[in-house]
Amino acid sequence: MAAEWSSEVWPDWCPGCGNFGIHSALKLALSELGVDRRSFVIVSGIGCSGKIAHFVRTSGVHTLHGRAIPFASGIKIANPELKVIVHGGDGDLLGIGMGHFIALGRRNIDVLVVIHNNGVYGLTKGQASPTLGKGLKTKSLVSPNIADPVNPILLGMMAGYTFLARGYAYNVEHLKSLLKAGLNHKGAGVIEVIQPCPTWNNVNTPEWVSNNTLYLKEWDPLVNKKEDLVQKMREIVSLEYGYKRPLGVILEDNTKETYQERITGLNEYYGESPPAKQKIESEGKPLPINFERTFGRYLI
Amino acid sequence: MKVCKECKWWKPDALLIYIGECEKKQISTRDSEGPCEAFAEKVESEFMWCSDCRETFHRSERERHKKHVTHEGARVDEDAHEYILAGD
Amino acid sequence: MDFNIIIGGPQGGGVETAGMLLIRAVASTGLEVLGVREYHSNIKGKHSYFHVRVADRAVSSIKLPADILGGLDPETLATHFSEVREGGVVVYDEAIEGKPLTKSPSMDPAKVSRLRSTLAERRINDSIEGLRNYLEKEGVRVYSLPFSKMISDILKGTSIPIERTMNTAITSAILSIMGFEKGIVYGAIDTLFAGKAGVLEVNRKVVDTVYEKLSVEKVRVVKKDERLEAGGKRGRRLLLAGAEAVAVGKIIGGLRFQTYYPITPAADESLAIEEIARVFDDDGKVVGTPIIVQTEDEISAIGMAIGGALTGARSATSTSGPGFSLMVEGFGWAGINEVPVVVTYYQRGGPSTGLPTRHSQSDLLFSIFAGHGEFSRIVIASGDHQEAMEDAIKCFNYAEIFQVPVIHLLDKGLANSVTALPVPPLDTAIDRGEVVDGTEEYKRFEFTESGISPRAFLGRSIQWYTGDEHNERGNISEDPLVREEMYRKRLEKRERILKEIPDEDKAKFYGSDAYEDLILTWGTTKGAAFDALPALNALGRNVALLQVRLMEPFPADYVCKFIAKARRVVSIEANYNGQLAWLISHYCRRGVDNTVLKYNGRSISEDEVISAYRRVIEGEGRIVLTGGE
Repeated sequence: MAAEWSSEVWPDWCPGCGNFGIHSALKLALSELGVDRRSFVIVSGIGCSGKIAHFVRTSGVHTLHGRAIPFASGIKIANPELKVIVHGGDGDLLGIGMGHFIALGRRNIDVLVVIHNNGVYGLTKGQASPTLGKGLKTKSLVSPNIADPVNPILLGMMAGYTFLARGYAYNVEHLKSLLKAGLNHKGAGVIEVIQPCPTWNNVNTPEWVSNNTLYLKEWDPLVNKKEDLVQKMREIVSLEYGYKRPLGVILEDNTKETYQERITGLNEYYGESPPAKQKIESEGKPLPINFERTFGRYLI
Repeated sequence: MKVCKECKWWKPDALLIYIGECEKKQISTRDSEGPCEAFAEKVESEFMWCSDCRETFHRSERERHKKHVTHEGARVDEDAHEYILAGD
Repeated sequence: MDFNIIIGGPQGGGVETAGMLLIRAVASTGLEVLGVREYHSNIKGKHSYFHVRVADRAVSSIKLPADILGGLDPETLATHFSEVREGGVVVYDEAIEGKPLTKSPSMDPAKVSRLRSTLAERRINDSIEGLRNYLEKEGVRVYSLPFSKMISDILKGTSIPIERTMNTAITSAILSIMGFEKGIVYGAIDTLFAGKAGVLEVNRKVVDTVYEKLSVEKVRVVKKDERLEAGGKRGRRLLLAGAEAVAVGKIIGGLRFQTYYPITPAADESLAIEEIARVFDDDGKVVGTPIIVQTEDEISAIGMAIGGALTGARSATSTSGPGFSLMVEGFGWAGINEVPVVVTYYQRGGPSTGLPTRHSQSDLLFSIFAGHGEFSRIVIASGDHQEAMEDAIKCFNYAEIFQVPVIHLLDKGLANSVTALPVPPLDTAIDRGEVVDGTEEYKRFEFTESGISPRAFLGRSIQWYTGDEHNERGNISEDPLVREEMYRKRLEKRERILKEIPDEDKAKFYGSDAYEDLILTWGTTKGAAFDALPALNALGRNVALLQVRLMEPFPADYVCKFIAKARRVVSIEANYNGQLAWLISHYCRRGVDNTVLKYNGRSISEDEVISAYRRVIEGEGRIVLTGGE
């Protein structure tokens, strides 16, 4: 049951916050997947969305603004047996954290990134975030926004993410299915969640969502052959530049090796024994190392 | 003077400029060696190497190197990456 | 026996190989050697040199004047000629004879104008020949040998480029002059050019030719009846640079996850770990492999390293000043979350981009105070290659025992210099602190009697971490009582650290207990002070040396006792403000009497310590050293 997945910490989001929807969808997904709560880790950034790490009964690492992805990457590379999800806001992941966002795509580390996209920096009073449309003026802005927004789906696609999806915080059933698909996917994934912010953003409201999004029905996100990827990418570009924002799984690319597979390809010992699992001492002393074989290049 | 450093086949070493390589004979020589039967006049190319200034220059700056010793290019050690240290 | 050799040339042109050949050759005889590399922030063309000191007892610093100067180009001779002693030897290729001294485009304009003045003052003609005449008048023996001619004769018919052999020629000349026999050079060449059959063969021929030529010319540094004593059997040793010594130490100490962003001089360490790649046991089985990740920036490097540490892998990141500046926020997160992560910090000339390839000790206070707010950390500064290797293991131990982020503070001088070390015995303890599996009710930041909470790795039990102030469970708390207790818990660790870390890791004392003057230093400057100690004592006063190693928490109880006993305290360090001196004044409530400082980006040499000390005796309070090229 989803309730089992709530921690004892009081979720202190504003009434009506889209984060409640994301929180519920996550708990349902974890429950239905039967995830082992001890080996699941939520890594989050700074902002309202980042607090989610404390509200789920599983390990949580609440990191620095924009930096959830490096922490998550280190955790996953050092111990691939852990299942790792990143939760962060649009300002956190696509502004200050943009460099890391792109880097994760290049590496295709098996981590799912959930972007809580509310168009503003909620915890600091509602400044425009990288996804707020140009010319828009929310109730918290003094003047209209004069910077163009980024599209996290297309950015993720060009960076190399192999799972792309978009959901809506108030459609918990649908979002739950996206989360399950994302967590089951092997490789780097992005789910952009449109998250209404009743306190600061009076532009991207539930009404705006129902007029400006559409649920994908006959769209095939699967790519199982390398040579089909470019064509799919072209189709995704057209899809994203359509009249309405598509909701659903947009890409599921199974043709790329994960970062762990790449490391193992170069170093098979990693596959057998990743850093967190390696024995490094013997009775309180260093392992019995053969100097000649290990450090022979320096011996004279 | 039909010595190596005036010849079109010869490229000076970028660093030890008094030594270079002859493309025609596939050997290393000093810049003052010669005369040699394979000697040919130097030609100009879009980018040239100036041994006096030790830099690569574009033909638009040809004037500045008029009195200098110039060649089509300089020879560099392909294995340099093995021992060069990080610079930044 | 104590030789100082300078061998120089343009970067990317063979000086590196020449220097390594020289070092390898002399080390193979069992002698002690230290090779310091000076080079520009440049890939090819600018001046670089090796200063190699060879002796029959261990040396930890370089000394001037040099006995031999070998130059591959005019710039080397123009730069270093005044560093050669009377009776010393200068060697170069006669092909550069006609070249001017002041027209190398790669020479710094400031150096060119100083050179012009010097040449004018001493009436030296602006040419290699002019320099030669001057040096010979000053009692320096100058040998211009037809190296390139000899080499091109040997290479006729092959397509092997001359630069593959020029360094061998100059090095052979130097070794022959020093009295080493040919076979030693062969040995070094065989190692350096292993796997390149054609190149190896011509290089051997070059050695033969050079040795023959010099035996004819009868060039020697040592007098005919002096004998060069080899060091005798020293057993197997490791010949490596400081960064490589740290890499070896880390791997022995259990490093299994390292992140880095390419930066000088730290990148060499990560490269070395990558090349070593696997740890083997006596049966040839792989028993460990450190995983290295090159990150997109330093912020990611510290983040990933912390992530790795949370899973229970011994994790580190390796960087320099500009990199650590970026890591400061992450470092603070490790502080508030009591994460055992190690930052290997190689200081270089700052501020900002500064001098990427030059020596400095100017980040001591930065590493102690970096990060907003207050939290416990450990900073350990190593003084030589041996210490750096052992400290690499200790840093991991202390990080995990006390659950604090640790900075292993080193410097460029150490990172790039090469020496021969005895093979370390594998008996340093590996202590992982209190590790538990944790239960359903596990609290990562539990208050305990000892002040240290038992640590469960991520994956073994549910746990929370946050950069916010938190309660025992790791969830956010702004409660004033929780805040006060948790803050105090983190800071009280300092007392425990000071109580448990052994004296030898706090500071090392060298000399007689009956000292009057105490030299205070840290990092690789220790080497120059240590080597100079006998000469200093010969000047009349009883001088001892204290090298501080633990910088934070500062071991005031231990260190200040030494300071109190001294009549005069002289600090020597490579920075402007006298950062260690400042710490001493603060903690020991006694100002340092004389400060000897250097901030021109070059290492402090043994002779500089001696001449500085003479000025101390004459009453100079603040002495700035300016030696080195």
